Amino acid sequence: MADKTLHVVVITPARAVFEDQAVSVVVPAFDGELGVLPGHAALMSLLGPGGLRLTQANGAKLSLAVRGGFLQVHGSKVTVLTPEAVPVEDLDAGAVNKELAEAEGQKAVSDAEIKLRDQKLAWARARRKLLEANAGTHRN
Amino acid sequence: MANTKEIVKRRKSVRNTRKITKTMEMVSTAKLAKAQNAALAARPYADKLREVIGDLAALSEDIRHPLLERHDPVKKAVVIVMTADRGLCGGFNGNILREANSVIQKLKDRGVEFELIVQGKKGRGAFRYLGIPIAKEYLMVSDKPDYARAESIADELIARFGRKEIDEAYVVYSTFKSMVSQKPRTDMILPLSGLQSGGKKEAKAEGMGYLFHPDPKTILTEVLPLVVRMSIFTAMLDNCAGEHAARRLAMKNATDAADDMIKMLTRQYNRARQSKITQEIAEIVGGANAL
Repeated sequence: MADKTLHVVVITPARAVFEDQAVSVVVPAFDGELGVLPGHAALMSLLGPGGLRLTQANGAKLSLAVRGGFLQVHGSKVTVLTPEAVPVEDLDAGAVNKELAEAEGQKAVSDAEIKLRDQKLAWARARRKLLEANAGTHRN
Repeated sequence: MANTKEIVKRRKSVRNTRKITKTMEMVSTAKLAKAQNAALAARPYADKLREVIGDLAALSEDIRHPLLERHDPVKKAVVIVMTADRGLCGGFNGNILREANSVIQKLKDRGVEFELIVQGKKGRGAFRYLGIPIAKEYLMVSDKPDYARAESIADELIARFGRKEIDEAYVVYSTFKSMVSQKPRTDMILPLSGLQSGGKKEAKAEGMGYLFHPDPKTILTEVLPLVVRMSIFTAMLDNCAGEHAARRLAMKNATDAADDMIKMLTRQYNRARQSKITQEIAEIVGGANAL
């Protein structure tokens, strides 16, 4: 009964970023990466900022930077809800570095401020890491 | 009867006005289509969010979350009022402001202090005129709904709600009901309501046998703030679509009225012209007879 493919939907409040069949998905769970293959048990998981990688049925690979959110796997349906999702190719290295520097320089005193800054930092770092990884694959 | 030259002048001015209103109508139609698409594109996210929360709420038999808790007594409330930045859109801004004033009046009657967050220049103008202080304003953004902005507004409210600085939050905006009707509306965004544990969804959720990573309660804690953000964001989207629909209608009415006026002026002009000619002939004939 298990389907050979997953139906993956990545939605942000502004639009559906991706909706298609895929053979595998790796999502950034809040505590590390989590892979989903066809036949996976029903699952709900919180996500952290990081890279979402998926392989489509024709072998095409896609990498997205997602800013947290959560994942729902139900049957062969995989739904990712995230406030922001950007294809790695569309990331702007300059802007990301600027945001990172800004977040690093930000003063935070209260708990709430520290939490906010840490979120910003994590999101900027996650994107920079993805950019570096992406640049690496292009050089080879 | 006015002289022909004056009528021609008036007709020209009405024609120019019609050109403007017609253009504005077309611009609004285009913007409305865009705004409607944006509102539509946000729906899957909102639907999914509601579904997941329903499942989670059904699973955790006892949901306790600070965002769900009613504060008693209610001492301070925040009212977010969304209007347009520009006028020329019929009763759109007026209706929203009337609704906002009735919300404020109700809060006053209950003896609740309130704080205003205003989006849109028209709202700011109105409250300034009324002498009601505005805590925070967002201007020139009414036709650019932005999730990041909704997020920052929501997060601040959530933080203050958590610290018990505020006890309730409302958003006043205009819904987009149809091309011709936009109703102002008030939603209570804090504390969150309409979430009950158990209930009719239970059977469905149990049958699914979800794995949770981490536990449902933690997920729910992380997910509930998303609802507040999303309700502010949908209000922005709706308001934007409503604004353009209202302006389109107002401009269409104005164009139609200008059409009528041009027709009327043309008729008046023809009549004036005719009577002038008749009079001239009569004078000539009279002159000839006199000879």
